[in-house]
Amino acid sequence: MIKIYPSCGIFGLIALLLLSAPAMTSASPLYDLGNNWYKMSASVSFRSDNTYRDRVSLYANPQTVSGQTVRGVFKPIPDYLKAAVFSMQTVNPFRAVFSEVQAAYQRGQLNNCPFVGIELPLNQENQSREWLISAPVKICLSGSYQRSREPGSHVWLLQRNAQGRYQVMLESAGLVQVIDDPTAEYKQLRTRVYNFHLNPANQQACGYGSVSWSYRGGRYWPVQMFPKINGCERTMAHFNEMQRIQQVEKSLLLGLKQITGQSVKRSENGSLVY
Amino acid sequence: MARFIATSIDLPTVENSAITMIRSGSKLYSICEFQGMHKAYFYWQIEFNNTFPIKVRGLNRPQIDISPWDGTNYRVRLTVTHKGQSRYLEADNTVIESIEKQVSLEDVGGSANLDTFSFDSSKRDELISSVAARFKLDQNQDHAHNAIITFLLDSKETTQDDHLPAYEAIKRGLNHPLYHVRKSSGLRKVENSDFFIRDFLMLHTQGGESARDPITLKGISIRDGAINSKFQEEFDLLVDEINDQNFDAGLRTDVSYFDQLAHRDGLQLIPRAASLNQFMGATMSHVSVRGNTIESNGALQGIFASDGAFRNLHITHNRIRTAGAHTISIAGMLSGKIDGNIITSSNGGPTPKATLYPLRIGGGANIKILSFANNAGVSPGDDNYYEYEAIEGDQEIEDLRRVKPLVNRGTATYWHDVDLPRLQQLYPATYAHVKRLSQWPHEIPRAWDRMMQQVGVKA
Repeated sequence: MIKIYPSCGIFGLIALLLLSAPAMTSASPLYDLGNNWYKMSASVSFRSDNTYRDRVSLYANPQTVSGQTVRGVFKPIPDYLKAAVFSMQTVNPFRAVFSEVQAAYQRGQLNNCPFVGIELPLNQENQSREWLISAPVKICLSGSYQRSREPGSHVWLLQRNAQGRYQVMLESAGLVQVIDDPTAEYKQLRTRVYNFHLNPANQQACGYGSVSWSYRGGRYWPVQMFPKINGCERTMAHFNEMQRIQQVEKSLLLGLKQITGQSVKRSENGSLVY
Repeated sequence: MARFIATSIDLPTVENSAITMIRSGSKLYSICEFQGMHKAYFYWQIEFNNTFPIKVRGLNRPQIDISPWDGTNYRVRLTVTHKGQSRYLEADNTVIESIEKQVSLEDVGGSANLDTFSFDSSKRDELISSVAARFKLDQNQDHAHNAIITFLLDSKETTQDDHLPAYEAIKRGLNHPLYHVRKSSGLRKVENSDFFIRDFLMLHTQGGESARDPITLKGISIRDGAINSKFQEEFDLLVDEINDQNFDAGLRTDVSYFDQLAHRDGLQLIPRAASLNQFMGATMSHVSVRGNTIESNGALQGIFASDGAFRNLHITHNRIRTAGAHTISIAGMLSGKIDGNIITSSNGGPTPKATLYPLRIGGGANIKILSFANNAGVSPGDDNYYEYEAIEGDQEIEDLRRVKPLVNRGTATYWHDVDLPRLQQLYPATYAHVKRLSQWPHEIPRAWDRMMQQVGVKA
């Protein structure tokens, strides 16, 4: 299938319209980013008073370096979506990894936590709907802003399929990127998987993996990972750079095994082999 | 707006004692302008549920970060000291809430006075591409960060009023502090600020300090408001786009976000004396750093010195909360006291202790001195007597002054029994020689090594 991306001019107009004329309707209370972009990058930064700044960068085509940035598009989500995120009826492969978040919700600790989102179609199918949802979980739990160790926000990509069943397609933290792969049924995703999420009790956990996710067989799978040792200078001071990267990668692969239920190996080019 | 209720008045009548309180999110701003009371000291206590979690001392326009803000029952107590006299005022939420109007930050500064940036899209693309390409080659965070800062400075359209000094400082040089203080009289211009891009204050002594004329940094309140600012937001957006260019390049690190910007210190100490600079082992004497508050949610270093020697340095009763690896970090501390400092981590990670490192000279030559040799006739107490003395005080310290690391991954060399006065004589000639060796960089370590062999023993 050949997909033609809109020209930059049209794309700029779309971004402008998105800024000036928010698509707020009663049927669709959240902004719908539509499909007229090649890549989208979104993040929400919360402060400890529950105010937030969001930004969405839209890239017209693979050659675009600077995205068109729009702000103020994330809005509070309706209660039924928040309930769906945490419902045990919702399929969520990330539940075990983020068990602390689930437990916090069950204890009512997220009752006053602001959940904001946008509508974000992940495929061309009109039968399903998807939302990108973000909340300052750590801030809500600790009452303090912990930027350095904890990216500003926890994020979920939630889908409701044609049958009305919900599924968490991705759960992560910080920046989420969505890339329109013309050859694929669903858009590709990119996030960071942080080691301190995988090992929350370990104060020394550091580093993260930049991970690409592709849709296959009804869910997203990690397909490529690049381990990064940012933030490991202090906690891994006794290791050299090669040892640090090995430690970070080892821990990340264990985490991905927990998410996918399968052993994963990483090849030289970053591809993940099951 | 709230008018504080005066419960005791020690001062003669002070006009215009209304204090305007503005609460914006978790911050309580006072824009109190006591007429004729500029340079007054303010001592705040915020009481929640009969506890006093926050005490702030500051100059002029203090602002208090109340986190978490429970928004219900609180009492604010304020002591204003001016010309040696104090005035005590207090108010509770019932007084404040009755007349307070919640105002946004934009309202405080006026919408025209916010930091805004206007980007030339082609230059922005060029920056992203060039920084990404260079980072792919060298993975040098400093190069990437400096390029981003330079670009943001060039793209700034309007400036929030109270951010102006920080932008002016960084425009003088990318490592320029908000305050560059050379002698005690320079401290008079220091005001509390919650926005600075590199160091808040660099104390760069010029020699001549003595027990009779010490320099004291005290009561300064440093809050790292650049974290979570508009500047940071634009910085991090560029970082994301730069990293995106290298997504599948297999790099071991990404360009870090602004909160991990290196070389940011709350208070940095740099000695200079007569013709000697810090890289030649100049000594800073009789400096006291006490009762300051340094808070950051980023990697801001608290009290920091990396080069030169420090004699009779006192670091006491400071409150440091940062996510950085260095809270109190002094290389080359010969004597003094470290006591009563409260150090906490702001990111939930391990809290680093106050740490002392070997005296470092040579800058990039990275020569570290583990012990000294003193000439006959030189006694403890003499200006040219060098020894790592026991540090006074009860603070838990990681004392690495005499320690060579088991694994040395950098270029540092470690030396025992160094005759520092002799080294200072030889240093200028060696430095001049090294500068001439730029075409033969492999010769440079050898030149430094030759000098050090004359004055010490390699460890």
